[in-house]
Amino acid sequence: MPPGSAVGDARRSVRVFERDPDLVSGLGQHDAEEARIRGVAAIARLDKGPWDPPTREADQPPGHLGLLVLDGLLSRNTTIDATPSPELLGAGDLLRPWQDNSEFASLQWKTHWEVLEPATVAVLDARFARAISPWPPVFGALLGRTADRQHWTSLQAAISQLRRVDARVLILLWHLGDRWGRAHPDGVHLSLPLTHALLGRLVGAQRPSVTLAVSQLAEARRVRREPGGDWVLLRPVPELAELLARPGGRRRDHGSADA
Amino acid sequence: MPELLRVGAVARALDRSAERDHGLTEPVGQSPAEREEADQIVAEYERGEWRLVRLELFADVLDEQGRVQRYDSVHVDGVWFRVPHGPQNVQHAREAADTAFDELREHLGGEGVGIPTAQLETAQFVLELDERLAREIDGPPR
Repeated sequence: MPPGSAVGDARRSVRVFERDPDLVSGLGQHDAEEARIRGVAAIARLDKGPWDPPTREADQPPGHLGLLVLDGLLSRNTTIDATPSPELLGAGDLLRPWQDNSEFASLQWKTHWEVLEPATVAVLDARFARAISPWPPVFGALLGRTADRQHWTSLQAAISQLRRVDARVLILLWHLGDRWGRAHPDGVHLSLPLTHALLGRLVGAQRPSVTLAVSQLAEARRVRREPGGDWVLLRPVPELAELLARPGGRRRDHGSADA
Repeated sequence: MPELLRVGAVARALDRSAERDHGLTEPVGQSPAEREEADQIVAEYERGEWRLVRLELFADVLDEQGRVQRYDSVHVDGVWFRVPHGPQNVQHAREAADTAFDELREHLGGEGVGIPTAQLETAQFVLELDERLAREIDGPPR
């Protein structure tokens, strides 16, 4: 995707509502079918690594709705000092990277984007908006996606306020599991590229503290790691009150080292 | 009634052999992203940028006779300090200590000193480095 523009590759286009059918779930069958046919948008594929999205609102034509993530995983990172605070984004999230108020803020912060897993975004430009204009509920559904992002970031902020890092990590994993996990008889399996450094930034803790917390949670049989890297959140789903009291279980020490 | 003055931890260096036994990246999973992270951590360790420590937690309590008593028998292993020493180590120590305050409360209770976990969690936290550790990590990696 060329930096400074929100134009995808028109030779690659997609019927948005076939990829994201929830957006038309509020329509009747006939309208939904019409919307699926007319809701065509150009797509852009994003490779893993730093992403330089369009950031100047003045460059976007009026009526541009945003970039809809169809697949993959991204992070939007906000940095005030040195440690970025990430927001994880995936399929269904609506991005408007040019909507950044930092230049008007009294105190400056920085934003940078990273593609954690190769991603595809649909460019919901003004032409797309006109095409779907007969169906106002779709606009409502898109607005709902921005509300979902707000709820997620609020939850992330609440988690970072918890005292214990093992509680923060476990509660975060369960909420990531709610969105990205797959239910299995033994628990929820989560296949996300979660380094301990990323987990630390997500919960506001030092990376070594996350490593220690993961060990404690594994020892307490709250999580299991699969050889391929999957996180398994073991059943039963813990009670929140129990987690906040003693998420890592009853332990006196950890590790085998002695001086 | 005893008064909690502060909680803290004495960080003690462990033998280098303990570091090898412990496994710097032991709990790190095997996803490609984590393997890449583990490789980076190992490279930093080989440059001398990490040191395994044990945290020995303590609670300083003012007794009814006005004497300060230190209660300490709870420790946390698996703590890794950055070299050179800095605020990130203090934060890591505090975060690690938080996971053991229940045990510290139980120990205090066994000594007849009733201090709720919540009070331990909000008390002033002090990190002390033992002499050997201070020599090793105050300053750039050697």
